[in-house]
Amino acid sequence: MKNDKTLLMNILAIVFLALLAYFIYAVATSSDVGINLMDDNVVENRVADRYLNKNVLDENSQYEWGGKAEDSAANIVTAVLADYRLFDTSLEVIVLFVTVMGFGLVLPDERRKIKESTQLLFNWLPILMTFMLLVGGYMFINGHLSPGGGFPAGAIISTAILVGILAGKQTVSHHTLKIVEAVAGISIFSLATLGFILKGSFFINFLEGGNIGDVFSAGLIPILYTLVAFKVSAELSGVYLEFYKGGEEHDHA
Amino acid sequence: MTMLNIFLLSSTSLIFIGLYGVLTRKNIVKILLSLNIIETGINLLLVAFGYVENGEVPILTSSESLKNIVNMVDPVPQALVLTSIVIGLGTTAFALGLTIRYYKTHGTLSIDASDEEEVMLNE
Repeated sequence: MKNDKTLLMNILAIVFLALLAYFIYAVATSSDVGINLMDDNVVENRVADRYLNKNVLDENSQYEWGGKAEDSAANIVTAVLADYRLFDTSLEVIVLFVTVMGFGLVLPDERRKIKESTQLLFNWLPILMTFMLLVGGYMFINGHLSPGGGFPAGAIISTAILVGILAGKQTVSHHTLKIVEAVAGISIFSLATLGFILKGSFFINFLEGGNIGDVFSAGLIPILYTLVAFKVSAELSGVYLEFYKGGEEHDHA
Repeated sequence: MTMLNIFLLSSTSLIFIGLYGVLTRKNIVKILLSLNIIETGINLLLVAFGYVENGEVPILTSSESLKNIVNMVDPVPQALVLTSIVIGLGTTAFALGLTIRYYKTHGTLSIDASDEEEVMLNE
């Protein structure tokens, strides 16, 4: 039975790789409209040209402060990260997920109990955690307006959970973290697919409205950053919790 | 000396300090620390490439800032560096996990322990 399963997995892997190779070949040799990889292309046909020649200083330009500048973020770094280069960012989240999973795999299976801490840290824990969660929450909500964003916010939120462990209290279980991570990851790619269904391209920013500089602006970017923050915080908290016994939830997780 | 030169000088010196550590240290944790120093240097180098003299933060804060868009520093290297920091975090965590396993196997953190094949055979 086990051999059948591995055979099936091998066949599935080969089929998947063959499909991938076919699509790469099809894209490379396609003669449809648009850019063909194998042709000698002029720069004007490339997408980059549209960005390079965009003139925001022109009088006819529709990009203005408080206007709907291509539904993007006031923080240009965020616009690059979570809009123009969203493929890169989403795969980066996957890379983080894979390394954290590998961390759990290579770690020797020797978990220690969460120790009691001093009274001082234990009593201060709620106040500390409140502030950390506030800063983290502010960061991912304002990621498109100010420096910060999903990744640092996730790190800060996971630090709050680490402080909880140091104070002798496990605030979230391993199981909850896994559910949060899975839901956030699935939501990111569902939104991407939704963009494909609604507007015809993967990861397109299909929400409109809002003025630049407002909290409710930049379309999908705050939503995606919130999801990224939850996913990153769940992954990093998983790293800390990997060292400790997590109660009963861990056994059948 | 311009600001860009200072950035380039400090980033290359960070890279070489890290390389020196990687080449000379025997302790795995110290090697990983040196690798992280190299990473910091490279990140600084990437950000320095996007630096504009007397540049501004690439954040739109008012309608005047849209007129100043030419003076802003290049946001693309910054976004790339954010990616590289996160990947660096993941690889460092993975490497430290491997280090813990190495310590369990060899009983030491020195890279000399894995030189001899007997250590693996005696296990």
